[in-house]
Amino acid sequence: MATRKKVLLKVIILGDSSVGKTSLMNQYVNKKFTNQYKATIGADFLTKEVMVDDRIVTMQIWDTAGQERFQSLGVAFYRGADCCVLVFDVTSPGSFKSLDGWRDEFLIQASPSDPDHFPFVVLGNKVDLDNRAVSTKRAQQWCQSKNGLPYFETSAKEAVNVEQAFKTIARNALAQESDVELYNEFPDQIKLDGGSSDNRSSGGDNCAC
Amino acid sequence: MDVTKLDEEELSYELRVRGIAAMNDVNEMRSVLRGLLRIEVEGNSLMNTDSTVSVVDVKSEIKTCVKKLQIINAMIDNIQGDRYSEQYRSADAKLCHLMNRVDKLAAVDKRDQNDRSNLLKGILFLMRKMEGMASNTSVIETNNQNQNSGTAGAGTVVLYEKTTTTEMNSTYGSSESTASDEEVGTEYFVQQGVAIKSLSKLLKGSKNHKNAETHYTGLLRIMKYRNAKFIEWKPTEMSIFPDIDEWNIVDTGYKQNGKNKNDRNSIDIKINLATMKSYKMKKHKKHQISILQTNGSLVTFLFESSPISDFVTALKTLLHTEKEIRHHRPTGVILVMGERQDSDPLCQSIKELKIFPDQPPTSTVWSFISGFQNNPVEKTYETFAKISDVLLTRTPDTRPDQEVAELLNRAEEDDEYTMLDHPPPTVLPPRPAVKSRGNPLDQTTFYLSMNEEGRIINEDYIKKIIFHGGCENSIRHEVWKYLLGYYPWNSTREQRINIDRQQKTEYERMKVQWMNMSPDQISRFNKYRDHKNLIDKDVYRTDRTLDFYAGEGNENLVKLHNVLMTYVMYNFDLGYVQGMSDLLSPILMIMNSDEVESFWCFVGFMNRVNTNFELKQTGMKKQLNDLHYLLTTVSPKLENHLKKMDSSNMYFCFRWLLVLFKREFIHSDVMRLWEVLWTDIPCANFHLLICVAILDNEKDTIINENFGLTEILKHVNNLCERIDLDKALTTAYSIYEQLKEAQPSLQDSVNELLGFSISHTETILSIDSNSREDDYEKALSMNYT
Repeated sequence: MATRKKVLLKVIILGDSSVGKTSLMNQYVNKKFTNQYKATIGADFLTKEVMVDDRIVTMQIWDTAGQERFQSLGVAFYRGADCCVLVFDVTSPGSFKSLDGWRDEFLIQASPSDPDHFPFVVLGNKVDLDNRAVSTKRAQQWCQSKNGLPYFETSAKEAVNVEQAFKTIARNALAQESDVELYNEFPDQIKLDGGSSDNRSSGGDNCAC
Repeated sequence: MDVTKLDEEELSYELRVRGIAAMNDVNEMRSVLRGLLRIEVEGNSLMNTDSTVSVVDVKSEIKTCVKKLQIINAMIDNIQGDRYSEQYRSADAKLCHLMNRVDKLAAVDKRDQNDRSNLLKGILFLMRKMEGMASNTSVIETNNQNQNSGTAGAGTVVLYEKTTTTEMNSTYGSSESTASDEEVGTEYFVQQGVAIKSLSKLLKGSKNHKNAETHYTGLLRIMKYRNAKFIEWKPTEMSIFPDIDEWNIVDTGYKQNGKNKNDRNSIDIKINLATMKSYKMKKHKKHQISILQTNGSLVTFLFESSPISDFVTALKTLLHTEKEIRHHRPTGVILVMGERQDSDPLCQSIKELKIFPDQPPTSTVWSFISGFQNNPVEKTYETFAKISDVLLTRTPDTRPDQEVAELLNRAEEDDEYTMLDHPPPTVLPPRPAVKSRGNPLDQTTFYLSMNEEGRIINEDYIKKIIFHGGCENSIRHEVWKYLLGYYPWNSTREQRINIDRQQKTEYERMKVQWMNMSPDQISRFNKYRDHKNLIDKDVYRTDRTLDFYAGEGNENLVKLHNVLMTYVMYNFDLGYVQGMSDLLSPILMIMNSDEVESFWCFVGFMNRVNTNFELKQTGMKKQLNDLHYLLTTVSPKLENHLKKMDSSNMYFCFRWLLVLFKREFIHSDVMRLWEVLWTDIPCANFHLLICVAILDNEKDTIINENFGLTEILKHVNNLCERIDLDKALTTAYSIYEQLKEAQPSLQDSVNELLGFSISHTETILSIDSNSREDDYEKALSMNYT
């Protein structure tokens, strides 16, 4: 515990085509916006070092293609994710409706060990536009129904809420990371019951708890 | 099994097999199951856990199991802690559950059985993988487990094998005895109601029989007697098939045994797998498979429907096969390269584990399975213990073998895409120096190559110039129409005027279809709306940095949109997929914003690459796999590194391949590159060699910096607009020449990819190239004359 390892947080951004995944990532990492981004093909990522509660962590933010059929190849990159960012476009009800699908897809593909508590953060992007079609309340309700996911309304174009959202993403990802470390650091504690009756095989659970 | 790690569905399954009705409370379910398990371990269970559960739908149960297997696989990959970690224990519990579940699968038909055995194999693989992790932490505990192990008697082996056979016969309602008066063999495949089409021997006689033929249906089996394996067919009844088109073509040229109509017994067929030369499948009203033997005899079986895939699967598990390639394309003929040594997949994996060192493989498999059948709990203990024994003393091989890898990555259904084995590295001759890039095709040369009618007289010559130097921009507008198949090379000026007129009408017709769609209509046309939305979004962000597409309200964006929308109507099954706008953009520029010409050239381009955009991505997977294969041959050192870094999936080349380097080069280079590829010189897969050339150039960086998948992806993405196109092209060509020189020693699959002829078939099959479909039949008929 004396020396802290350098922490790498892997963050995956998912959401329908053209909801602003690439723009959000670039706004956060490079503080830039252009409407000349091309549709993402394959996958790419950017990294950024940030301070989270006195710790320096490196965020590796993965941007993926939005069209569903390309997801099968993205799986290789989902592995070991610490946080998943679900993005929709507040002017597109369809992209909001897809959130369920993206969440399920991620849980299946990345299969985190504790799906119920895996950190997701939801971003409603493009709030700078006038033709809003998904209300804040509706989005919040959805987030509430999924164990209270954090929700932010952002504009990658005008850098609204982007910094705050990613701060939460980093913090939640780090919390997830530390949970894992906890097990690594105290194996003996668990070994006690493991040693007396071996839990390796089928039907072998003799523990009466 | 740690019941706290099972989810609701899994718990209710475990309870259901123990005869307990579903409960609502997960905690209650856990506590009941825990109690039951304890009783079972103590051997006091009154419950019969052996009975197979009445699963309503075996297929969906298999699907569930495959899904679970995939989930567990991913879980294992994510395990960060040791064997006491939550993650490890979850995966472990789920794996135990899955094993019991697969064990209880009442697989009836061959396909299900095959799935089931692959599932078991997958489970074994995952067990090894987990044990590999566990072995890092503790060695002592395995002793406890060993004490629990029991042995399954040899008697059960026979019993189980017998049951399978009986089951099979009753399932298929075999009307005649299958093995009563024969020696007993092992059955690999059985199917009732398979018809036989023709039975040819090298006989001289009548050539034509164009009328309706008599066919026989019967029982088709693949059997093993002692050491040889046979395809066997016995007739059960006689039936007349109406004349089916193409049969005439198929049958013309080889002879029918005139006697077989009267003498039914004489047409029992037995084909030794060792004498199989090749086979070919066809789907024409009925599924059929023609098998050619080394002695020249040909047998064609007709299947009612899907079982043909089971039959082929069975063959593939028993034989090493390769697709035959001629004129750079697969002919559909599957060449048999030899028998596999030990065919049973389950057998293989267990043999690999060396759990049962001294027994013959077959009996070990059956005792293993019957062990599961009779006493799942104990057998599981035993297997885990044995596996840990093996794995603690040797380094686990964490690469899944072919079937398992396929199962783990399997999409909905298996397709033709199969992972190829790694060939042994071939030592290649040095890369020859090749001609440096030449001058582009200029206007004078191009127009001088036409005769007075306007036909291009020397197509190959023109293509060669384009291959070496591209095209001058001023004539691209004309030349691309030939390269993309809008104009035939030998068309006259007059014919081209006709083509222009016809294709304009045709384009307008399709364009009107979507333009006339009312909002009301669209509101009930989901798929169309999805394509439209995506096009609207992508058009707006395609090459906006180029002057041609820059600025608000640019007319060219409208044209881009129109052509893509019309393509949706032209090919609705494929529709619009991201990446297509990238492919169209340069074409529209070159065609000076002419929608009609752009559309048809785009169609021509899409015809070359449409498999890139398939829903299941099989085309992309195949290309990535092929690329890996080429890299293995050309740059084994790099391939080794990729393998070590778990990156042999080549995903970092996805963007290169999907839009043919559109995103990797500046605009003018993209056009030069595409022209080269459209010539099909020197071979159809030249773009893969360009990938190899670029990667080969980066190999030192990748290896020396010890890049993993993430770093390689970053590195490759960062190459964008920094690759020297001329160098990449000359290197790729040089690699082509290098491989060509080494051709005799190359793997057939490499030869196939690069269109090098495979000697023994080329000699017979070099007749006519126009109708590839019929070549096989022609070649066959030649065998009989």
